[in-house]
Amino acid sequence: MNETNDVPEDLLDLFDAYVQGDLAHERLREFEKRLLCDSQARDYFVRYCRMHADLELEARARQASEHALETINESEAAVPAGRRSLMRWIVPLTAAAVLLAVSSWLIWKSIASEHEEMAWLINAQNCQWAANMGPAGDMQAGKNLRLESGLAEVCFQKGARILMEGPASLEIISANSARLRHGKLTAKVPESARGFQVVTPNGKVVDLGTEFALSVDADGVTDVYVYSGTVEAYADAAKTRNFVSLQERQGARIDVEGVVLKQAQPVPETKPFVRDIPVIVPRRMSLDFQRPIPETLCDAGGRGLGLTHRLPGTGRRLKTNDDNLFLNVAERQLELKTTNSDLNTKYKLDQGEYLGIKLTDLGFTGTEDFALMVVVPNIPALQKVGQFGLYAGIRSDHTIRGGLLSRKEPEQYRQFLVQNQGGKDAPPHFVGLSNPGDDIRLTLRREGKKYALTVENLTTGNSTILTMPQPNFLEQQRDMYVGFFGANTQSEVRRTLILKEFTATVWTKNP
Amino acid sequence: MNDVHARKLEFAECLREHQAQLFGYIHSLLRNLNDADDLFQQTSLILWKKFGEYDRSRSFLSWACGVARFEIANFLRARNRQHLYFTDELNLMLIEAHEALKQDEIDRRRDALTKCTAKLRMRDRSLLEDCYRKSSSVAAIAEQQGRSPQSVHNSLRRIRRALFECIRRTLAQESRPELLA
Repeated sequence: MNETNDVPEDLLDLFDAYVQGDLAHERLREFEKRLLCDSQARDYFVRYCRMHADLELEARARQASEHALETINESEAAVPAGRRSLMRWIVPLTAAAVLLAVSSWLIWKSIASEHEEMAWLINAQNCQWAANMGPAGDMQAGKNLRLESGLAEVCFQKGARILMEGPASLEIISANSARLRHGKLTAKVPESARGFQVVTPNGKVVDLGTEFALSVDADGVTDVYVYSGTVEAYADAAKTRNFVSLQERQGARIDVEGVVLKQAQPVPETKPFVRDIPVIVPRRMSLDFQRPIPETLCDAGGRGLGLTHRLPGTGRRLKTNDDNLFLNVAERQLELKTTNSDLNTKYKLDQGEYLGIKLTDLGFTGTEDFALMVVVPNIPALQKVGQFGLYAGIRSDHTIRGGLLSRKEPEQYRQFLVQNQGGKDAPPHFVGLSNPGDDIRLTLRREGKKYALTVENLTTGNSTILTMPQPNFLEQQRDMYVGFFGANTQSEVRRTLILKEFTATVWTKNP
Repeated sequence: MNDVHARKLEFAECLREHQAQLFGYIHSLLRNLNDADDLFQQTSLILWKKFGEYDRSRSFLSWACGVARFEIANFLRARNRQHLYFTDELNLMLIEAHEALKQDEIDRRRDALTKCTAKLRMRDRSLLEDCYRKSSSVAAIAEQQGRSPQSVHNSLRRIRRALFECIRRTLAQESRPELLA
C-alpha cells in the first residue's frame, strides 16, 4: 500500500467511531457507501481495525488465554472419546491465536505505569548479555544491564534513547537518568527528555536536548563528545574545574582531577562511536550464464564465465581457455567436465576445477555473513568418491567445502561437509541420499560463526542441512575465495556437471 | 487413519498460515476481543468439519472468512445487533482487503505501534492503559477523572488517530531506499 498519502480526516473520524462502536445507523450506512466505492478507503480501514485489535489484543491477552484454555478443558471433558483427539489437537491452534496476542505485549511494556518500568529495549543487534544482566524482566530503577558484545538501544520513559555498544555496563536510575559504569554509548535526547543525566564514576553529564557520545574506560575516566546541542559536564571531586558547558563538536574529559575541555576531535580517536544500529544490506552477484562476460575466467572457446577467481593452489596447469568448461549460452548453463583431483591429500590440484569469486569484491571484510547457491540439474553418476559442491577458503589447504559425494554404493550420493587444514580432510560429516538424474540446489552459508550446507533435492522435494562451527583457520580471514567444484577423485572416469544460477551474497553493514 | 492425520496436518498448516488475517477479520467485524476469541475458536472447529469441502484451488483465507462471516452474522443476530453489520457485498470486499494485508506488513505495523506508543505523552499512555488493558468503560474512566464521557471519547480518538498517523510515517520512512537517505 502507498504509505505516503494522507488519509482524509472525515474518513478517520468514521473509522474511529466504528471501532468505538458508536456509529449511528444512518452514519453507518453512509460509511458503508464510502467503503463500497473506494478501495483505498477499505485498505486504510482494514489497517485501522488491525491497530485497534493490536491494542486490545495485548490488553486482554492473559484474560483471553485463560478463557480459551477453560473453554477447551470444558469441551474436552464434555465430548465423547472419539472426538477427544481432535480437541487435543485444536489446543495448540487456539494457543497459537493467543500467542499472536501475546506477541504484541511489548506495546504494553511502554504503557506500564511509572512505578514499574523506567526504560525498555527497542532495538538490538548481535547482543550477548551477561547472565541475569539482560533486558529481560522489568527495567525498573536499579536495573543493571551488562552487554558483553553487540549493540542495544534502550529508550527511557521520558524519551531519551541510548545506544550501548558492548562491552558496556549500565544501571537504570530513573525514567530520565542512568549510570554508565564502563563502556560506550551514544544518546539522543528529545525535548521531552531535556535534563537527561548519565552519571559516570567521576562525575555526570547532563544533556539539554541534543545528541552526544560518552565513554568510560577501565579507570573510570570519562570522555564526552557533543554531536549537536548543549551538554553540561560535572566532576565530583575538584573544587575548581568542576563544570564545563559543551557545544556542538566539543569534547571534555572527566577524571578524578576534574573536568576539562578537550581539543575538538572526533571521539574516540581509534574506533568511531555507533550512533545508529547499522542496517544490513545484502550485496549479491548472480550469474545465469546467458551471455559471455568479458574479462572473467574463460571456457574452451574463450567465452567469459562471469567467475573471476580460482581457489588459490588449484588449476595452475589448466589452460586460460579451459578445455573442461563450456559456457552453453543457448541452455543458459555452464558445463564443467570433472577432473581427477582431490583437496584431500592435495592430489593433482594443479588440474583441479575450483571456480568462483573473491568475496572482497562483494564488500567482504572478514566478518560478514555470506552465502553461495548453485543449481545442478540432472546430476551425473560419478564413480567412487566423485564429488561436487561449494567451497569457501583462503587457499586449497585451508577450506571448508560441501556438496554431494559418491560412495561405494553404486549410483548414489551422500551429502558431506568437511574442513580441510594442511591438505587433510577432517572431520567429515555425511548424511542423506541422492540419485543420478536428480536436480539439486546447493547452498553454503556462513552465519555468525557457523557454516551450513543445504542440499535441496528439487526432484524429490526433500532437503537436508549439515552445519559445523567455523574452523579457527578461517576466522577473521579477509581474503576468502568461494565457488563450486567438481572432481572425479580416485577414478579416471570424467563426467560433465551442469551448473545453473550461481549466486553469491555478502550481508554487509551499511555505514 | 493416516489420511485423517495428513488432513489434520494440512488443515493446521493452512490455519496457522492465515490465523493472523482471519483473527484480524473477525475482530474487525466484532470489535471486541472476547467475542473475537470465541468466534475464532468456533470458526476453527467448523472449518475443520468442513475441510473436506474446501476447494484447494481457492484461497484458504477467502474460504475461512466466508465461513466466519456466517458465524458472525448468526452471533450478531442472536444479540440483535445486526444493524451494526455490513452488507454482504462490502464484506466480500473487506475480506479481499484483509487478504491483501501481508504478514510482513502486519508485523511491521505492530513494531511501529510499539515505537509510536512509546512516544505518547504520559497522560495519553495512561488513558490507553485504562481503556484497553484494564478494560474500564469510557463512562467509568470519565467519572474517575471528573471528565465528560464525550471528552474521554475525544481523547481516545485523538490518541488512536495520532498512533495511526505515526505508524504510517514510520512505514513510509522504512520504505525509503537506505542508500538515497
